[in-house]
Amino acid sequence: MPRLSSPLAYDRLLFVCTHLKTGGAERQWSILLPELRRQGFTVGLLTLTAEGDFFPDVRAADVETSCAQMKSRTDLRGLVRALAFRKWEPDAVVTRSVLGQAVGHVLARSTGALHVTTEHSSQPLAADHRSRERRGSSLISWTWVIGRGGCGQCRAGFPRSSQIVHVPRRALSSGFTQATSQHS
Amino acid sequence: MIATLRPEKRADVFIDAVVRARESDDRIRGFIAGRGPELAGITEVAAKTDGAVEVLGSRSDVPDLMLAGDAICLTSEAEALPMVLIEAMALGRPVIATDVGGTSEIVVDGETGDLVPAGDRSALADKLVAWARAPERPLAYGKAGLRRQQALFTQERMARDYARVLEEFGRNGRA
Repeated sequence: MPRLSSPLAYDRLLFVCTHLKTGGAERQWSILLPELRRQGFTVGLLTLTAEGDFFPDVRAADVETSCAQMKSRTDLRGLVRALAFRKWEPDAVVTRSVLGQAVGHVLARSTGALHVTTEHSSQPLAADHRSRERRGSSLISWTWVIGRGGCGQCRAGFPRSSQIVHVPRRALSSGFTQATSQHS
Repeated sequence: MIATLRPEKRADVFIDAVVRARESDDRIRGFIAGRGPELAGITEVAAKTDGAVEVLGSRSDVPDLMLAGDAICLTSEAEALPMVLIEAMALGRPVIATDVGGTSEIVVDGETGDLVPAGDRSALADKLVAWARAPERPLAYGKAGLRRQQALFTQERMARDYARVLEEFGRNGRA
């Protein structure tokens, strides 16, 4: 699979999320990460609370995987396990979920990596979720809102709204070639 | 219907639509695969449909289930870019989905499948009956859907575009 024409500044991509249990976003990462690996990127996956059904698919694809087994957001031992991933020295950290954003931020800051978080949801965010995302957004290099529907509500009131950008869904289109995994 | 059974998936709409469709054509049956917080409630509702809808629970043979179905339905009231529709199209299966979120970016209404308004049980039931009576239509949708998936929604393209966008944003984001 051909890589982009010029050498990339971002060869080591670390993906951080709560878990890879059932769900479309989780399924998408279980396809995306192996494909990025196949295309020549060095890819890491850190899940924070559990592995989940799709985790083995990613591990089997020569992606460096780890689960911090955090019992709660304030589980310090689990957090230490998660932050050990900074030795992996990512060029970019891609996160999803509030806990993923928080841990991803620390990892990105401590390694000088770009931090991007993605928001795919087309549903209005719950108030507490929005509040946490708002606080988190001030820490993150870029927030990608996938699809135009959620962009306005994500920008409203966020301290660094200029860094919340709309990425057309099709530009990051979910891809699929072969149905092999457990679903839902 | 294949979904994580959360409230926004509106499996109740699917069940009701299948029951209504079956009143017009008793060959129509519905199956729901998936697990989630709504599983117990949905199973209870389906049990009262006199066999019209069966809940299969969590399955590891989703591709086979899709291939066995004559239509893949998605009745969500909110979606981003549902993977299940892309997976169905990749297997050449026709889809009926609610017109929410990014579903219309996947499904070309009347070309690769049919879109119905969210929550509209009658519209979904009408489509199911129409498809059962004119099976050449969903057959054509399935073929067109496979072509669309292969043109726009491959995993190779997804990863390539992801890396490209990451590179572009990285350049702009770093001083």
